[in-house]
Amino acid sequence: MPALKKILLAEDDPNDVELTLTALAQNKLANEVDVVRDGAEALDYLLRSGAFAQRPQGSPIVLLLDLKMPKVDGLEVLRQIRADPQLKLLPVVMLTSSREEQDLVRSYKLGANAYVVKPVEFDSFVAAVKELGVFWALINEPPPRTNG
Amino acid sequence: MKPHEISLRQQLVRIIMLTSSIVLLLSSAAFIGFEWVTLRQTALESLATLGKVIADNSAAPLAFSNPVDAEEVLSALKADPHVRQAVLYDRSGHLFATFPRGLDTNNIPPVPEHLGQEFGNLRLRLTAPVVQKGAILGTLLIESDLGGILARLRLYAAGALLILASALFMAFFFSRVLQQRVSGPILALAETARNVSERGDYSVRAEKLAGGEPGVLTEAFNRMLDEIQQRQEALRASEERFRSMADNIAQLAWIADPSGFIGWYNQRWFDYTGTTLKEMEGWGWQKVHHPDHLQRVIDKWRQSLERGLTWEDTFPLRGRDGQFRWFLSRAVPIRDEQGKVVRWFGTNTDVTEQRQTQEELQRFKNELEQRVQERTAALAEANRELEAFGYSVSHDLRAPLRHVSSFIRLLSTTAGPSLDENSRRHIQVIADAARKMGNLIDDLLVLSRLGRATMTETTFSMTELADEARRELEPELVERSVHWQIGRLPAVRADRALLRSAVVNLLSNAIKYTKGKEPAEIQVEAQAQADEVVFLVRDNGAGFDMRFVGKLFGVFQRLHRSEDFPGTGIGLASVRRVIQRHGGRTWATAEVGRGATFYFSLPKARVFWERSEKPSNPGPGNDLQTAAPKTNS
Repeated sequence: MPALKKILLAEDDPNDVELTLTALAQNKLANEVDVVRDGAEALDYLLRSGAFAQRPQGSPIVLLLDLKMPKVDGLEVLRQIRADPQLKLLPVVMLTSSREEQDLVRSYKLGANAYVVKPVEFDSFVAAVKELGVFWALINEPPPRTNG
Repeated sequence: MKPHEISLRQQLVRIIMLTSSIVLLLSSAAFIGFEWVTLRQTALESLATLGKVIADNSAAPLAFSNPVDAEEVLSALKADPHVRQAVLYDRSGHLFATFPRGLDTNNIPPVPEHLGQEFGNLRLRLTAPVVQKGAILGTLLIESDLGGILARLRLYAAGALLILASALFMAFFFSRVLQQRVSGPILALAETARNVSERGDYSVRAEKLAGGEPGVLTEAFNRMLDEIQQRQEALRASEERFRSMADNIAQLAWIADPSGFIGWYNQRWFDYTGTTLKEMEGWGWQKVHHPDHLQRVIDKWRQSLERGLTWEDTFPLRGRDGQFRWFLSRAVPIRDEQGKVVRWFGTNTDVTEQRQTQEELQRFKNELEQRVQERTAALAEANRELEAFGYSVSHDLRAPLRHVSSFIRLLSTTAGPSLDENSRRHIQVIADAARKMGNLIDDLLVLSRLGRATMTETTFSMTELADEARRELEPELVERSVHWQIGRLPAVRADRALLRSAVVNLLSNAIKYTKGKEPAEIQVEAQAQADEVVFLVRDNGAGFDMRFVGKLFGVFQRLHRSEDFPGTGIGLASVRRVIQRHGGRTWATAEVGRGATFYFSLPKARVFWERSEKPSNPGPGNDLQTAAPKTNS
């Protein structure tokens, strides 16, 4: 069995990063989680450019993408992923505080694979992250390997 | 005077004179002709007798060749003054003797070849043989003129002329006198007729001067005059009515012939324009038109004339003060029985005030529209701001809240066991407050979304909607006993999602405030009113004090303590917003401890009653048919 693929978390809020990592840890998910703090970093990571030029090859198994981020926001990151021939099959889960209809519509239009509203209650949040992790890291069959 | 202009009197005289003259002339000619024949006959007979005597007497001189005696015999012809000459020839045709004696031998006619009488050249010639004892001795020729006959005829002619003249004179005299009786009445009638026609005075009447045909004629003429006078009077009255109407209507009016030539304007036209008929006649009206409009007016008017279609136009006309006023103008073609246009009747109605009013209205409208646009833009701007606000509330307020509640949870998990009772209670209060704030934010977002969301209208059954809402609320009915009565509800045209949220809110309230009532009664009904349909949700729950009914539908307004009935105070505000967006109203009645009734209405146009659905009078629905099975789960 090859090494478990990484989960990429794009999230600007350190509290949310901590909560998400905590939730993932509590769910004992074995996959390693890489964290980027804004949209530009997320794109650099995925395209192995800028600060991530030296990153070893390989796409994450899933991208947990916060909608509202400084510099390049989540929707723009999603748009660029779907426009890139090497990244366009990458599973992307929008992770956001908002249930705003327009965000939902725009996310799905741009090709998001899922849209998750972060629950206020921590227990619910843990449950949601667990579901996500299990589904995307274990149950879901990732797309065939591309040249990325 | 031409023949047909000769008066009746003269004609009568002439006819009588002519007739008399012809009769007299004919009778005179007959008389003279008869006389002429008679006289000639007499002359011939007397000449023959004379010739016989002379011839007998000439026999002896001829027999003895004695010319002297012969001439003696011939000289007896002297007795007759009309005998012009006589010649005696011997047996061999030689001249023997003449009368008068020594007659110019050159003029002597030769011996005539025939015996007898010859009449010609105003002469009478007799040739007779001279015979003795049966032997012809010679020939006698006598020539006589017609002087006697002519003289007699002249006398007769003179007499005839005299008689003719006197007869004509008599005829003239009598005809002058007698024709008076025939022509008098007719001439009088003619004089009356001339007066009527020359003066146009139909009130005069002819005097009846005679009986018979002239009398009949006079009577008929007078009757005709009566009728004409009546008609003229009627015509004058009609004309008078038309004029007084035409001059007193508010419009300017005119009449044109089929070619468009205007021959009449009402007084108002002249009063307004300050012109005269002479200036305006025909196409002269162009003088009072505005140059900017004239060509169009002429074109349209000509077009109507050609096609025989009603003409309508609006244009300015110059008044006598030089100011232009606007007129709505119309002309209709008046047709004869064959449908041919005989004239056009036109009017011009002053619409200056209307136009001003209209323009003012238009200006107001434009201003209003502009203001509406400005307000709409401002509203849209406000809406955008609100949206942005709602968006940041949803993101930026929820995130820290989530952190508070999450880290408190982590804290209680990790440090909980080592904390004292009081500290653990504090942690619980913080967690509850964070949850409550989360709910508030969620409800606020819902409310804001209800106000902004675009409405998608469909037609759907309210009965189904209410049922659906009831099922959605089933989790709240755990350990509750509720008796539902959902009456017959009509179909409505509305945004289903919005209306559903309103109904869910109202039913949820009813369930919430009947807590503790066993069994709880919740009724849903619809009542048709004059111009709207009222829906109501009635419960037998806690009710409320009607003094505070005004606060009921306000945001964050609560009439109960959260310890008794939890809630954010936003539900009824969202109900009101939804109903208002559909053009309806919301209100409520209640009594503390006896239950409350919440009403909302929808405009009639949005409501469709299916057959036999509409209640004949407002009242409770038929609960036997519609009561849902008692929910007791």
